[in-house]
Amino acid sequence: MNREPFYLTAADAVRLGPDHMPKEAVPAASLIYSSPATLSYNSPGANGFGVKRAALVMPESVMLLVSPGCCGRNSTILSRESGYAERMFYLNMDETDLVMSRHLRKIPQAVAEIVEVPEKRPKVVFVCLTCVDALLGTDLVPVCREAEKQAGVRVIPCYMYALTREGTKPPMALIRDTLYGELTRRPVDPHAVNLMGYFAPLEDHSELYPMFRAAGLTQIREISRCCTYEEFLEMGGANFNLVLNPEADFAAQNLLERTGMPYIDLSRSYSIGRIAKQYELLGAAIGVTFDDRKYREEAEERLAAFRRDHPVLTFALGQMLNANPFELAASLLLCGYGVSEIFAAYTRADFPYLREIAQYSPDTRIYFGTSPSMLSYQSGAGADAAVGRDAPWYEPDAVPVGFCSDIQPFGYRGLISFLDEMEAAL
Amino acid sequence: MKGLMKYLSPFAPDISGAVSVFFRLGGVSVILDAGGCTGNACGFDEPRWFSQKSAVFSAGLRDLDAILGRDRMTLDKTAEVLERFDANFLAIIGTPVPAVIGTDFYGLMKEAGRRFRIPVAAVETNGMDLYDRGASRAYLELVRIAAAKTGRKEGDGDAAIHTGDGAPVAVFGCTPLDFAPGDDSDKIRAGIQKAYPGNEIMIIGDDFADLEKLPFAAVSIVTAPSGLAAAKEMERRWKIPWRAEYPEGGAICDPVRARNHSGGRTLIVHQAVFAAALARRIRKEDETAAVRTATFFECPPDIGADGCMRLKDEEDFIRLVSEHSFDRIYADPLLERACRGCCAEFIPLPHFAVSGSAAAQAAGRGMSSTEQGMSSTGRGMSSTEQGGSAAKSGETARRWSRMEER
Repeated sequence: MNREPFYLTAADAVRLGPDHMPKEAVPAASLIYSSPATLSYNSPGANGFGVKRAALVMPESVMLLVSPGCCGRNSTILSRESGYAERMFYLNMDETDLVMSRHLRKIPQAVAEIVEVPEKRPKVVFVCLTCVDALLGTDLVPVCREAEKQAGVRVIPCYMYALTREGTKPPMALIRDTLYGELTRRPVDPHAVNLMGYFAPLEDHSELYPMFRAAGLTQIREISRCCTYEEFLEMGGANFNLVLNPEADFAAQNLLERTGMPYIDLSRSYSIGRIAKQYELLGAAIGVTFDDRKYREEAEERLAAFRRDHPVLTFALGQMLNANPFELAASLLLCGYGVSEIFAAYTRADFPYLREIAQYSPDTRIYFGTSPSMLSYQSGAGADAAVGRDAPWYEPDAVPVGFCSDIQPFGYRGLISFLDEMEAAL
Repeated sequence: MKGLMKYLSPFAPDISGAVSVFFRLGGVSVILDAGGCTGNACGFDEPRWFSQKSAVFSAGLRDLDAILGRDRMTLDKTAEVLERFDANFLAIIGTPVPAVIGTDFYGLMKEAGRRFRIPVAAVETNGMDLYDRGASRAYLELVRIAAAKTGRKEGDGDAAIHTGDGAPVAVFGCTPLDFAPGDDSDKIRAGIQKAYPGNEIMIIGDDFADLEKLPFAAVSIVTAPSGLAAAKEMERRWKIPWRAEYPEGGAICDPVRARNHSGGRTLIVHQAVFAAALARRIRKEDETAAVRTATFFECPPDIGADGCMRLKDEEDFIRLVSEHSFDRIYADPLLERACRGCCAEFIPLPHFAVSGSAAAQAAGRGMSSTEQGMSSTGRGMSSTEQGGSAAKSGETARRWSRMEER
């Protein structure tokens, strides 16, 4: 019996290359182990922003989850902890509903009933279906149209189809498309830009805001900062969309095709050089020059001070954190730190970072959290800090650094936030 | 509207009940889902998941696997896991996905048994029933496995209760989803041991080796309705008698002792066996107390919970509390939201199957259990409770007058 948990070293991963990824990198290729560490991301309704909480980012909205009871069970706990319990409603299906599709006939009346429950009548109701309706091939659009007529509010279909997680439109990409699919093109404001990708705003002190304003982009909108449904709809007048998380690419592409709103991708990095390069490329794309010197110097000073105070550190990185763990690992290695383990599945897109990791630390181990072999995992790599919500479960003796707030760090000041959180934890 | 939850949120589903029964038995449990059901069962309905390791896996089904019914692929994935771990048995647990595509659980079980040569339990849960049904089906599978392991034939045995001769006492309905607040299997075991001092107490679900002794049990004790079907099956197969009883502990005593129940009406909402035990406790202290019990879970007529009302959904509960002027209600804190306009005193009686971790937190705050004696159908309760948490229960109890405030 092989009781060793499966892992690859960074060097092995690079040697195998993107065309020969281990099957552990694809959760559905094996049984899936939902360890306490993976619960945060191994379900479309999981901790953080799963489908349900993500949809409710829409201001003045509530959700009706139409499903077997088991699909809404985690909301019993999560909705209370995250403060959206009073905006969630459930229409539980039974077997007769399943056979007769009777649940669909109940939806209009259910919507009419739930909009009367909150003290302030909602403007939007999401009707969310789950795997069973994916298999039944339910067409929810006409049902929502009928519900809209009866309740007199906007009713939007949305889907939490865990069965499609490795498909072309996984649930978290689809929910972003559902949200932004509400936008219609409004008269274009050349000074307006939308930040897409996250369900919570960037940190208030992010340099993106003053840099954009200095460049003439004075109206910066994020869905999570909209207080009303009408304010959200004003996002339809943006000059362009800035996509900060690749999971929003599908939504941005659809907006481009449907309304002509262009979009630009900007990825998050914790390497000063990469951040600077990104801003340079972004400026070139939109025809402005961002003056990022002040922010870059701030970050360089903070990093130098951190390195002075903590010259030698080894990190274990999880998957549930406000960073791409492979990018963060590469950035930390570039700073001279060690990375003993990364607990995350990599994709083709991570190979540029993997190559950097392999160059500086070929023995860094990459574990795949959902692999059944992780049941045998024993901690003991000797990391000083375990970064990510899930990492401390693997490395309980390391200093836990969550770095997983809803509010999103980004850019130079994102790096400073990371170092500040590290400093506080250490 | 039937099935609509405007104030409450879903309770623990049958999948979680099945997982809970198998959790400590050293098997490999495979849940036929895409990942979400497993995450829910382990992460939200299984408090032991964070302190103990158990081989519970998702089959990782994707849309085409379901549409094409790729059962063999699931067994191939299972084979890889069984090569890594010594498993006492394999449990295959259903979800809404196999319910929709009509998976042949019996066939799957047979094929897995032939291929892996270990006992296989197939639990046809569908995610639409509640935890007690799933647990009930899982217990039945354990009885079936016990019969196969020991070879004891149906009809062997007699109906007498052999207490005091060392024969084991089998306890069904004893999972974290069944417990009264603050209880655990050790406390239940200790409580039952006092009633059966000469017998070995087997909490079914604690040790796979107990299955070897299961067909030779002196008596089955049912501490929650989830255990009833298995106890009856034991009776049918081997004439082993059963009784429904919940051992007395702080969960029963603490909140009750702090209050005067004479005059006024009391409602208790929990799993039926525990609710009945609590009601008897109140009536024992004051014969004139008007106590009613209700449950969102199974409430079979022969469980000894006479008059327990089965609540089908939120509407039933709202109707019950609005049509009857209860003076105090013992119920899980989650139910408070559905009591708008009710002026009864609300006394939190956490139930993990209802509010999950919140129940555990509430239990930890004010419902510490002490195990004494036995409360059983037709028998009295010990009254040597310890103090301590009653005051806290009193503190957390609140008057409801939300509607008036608004």
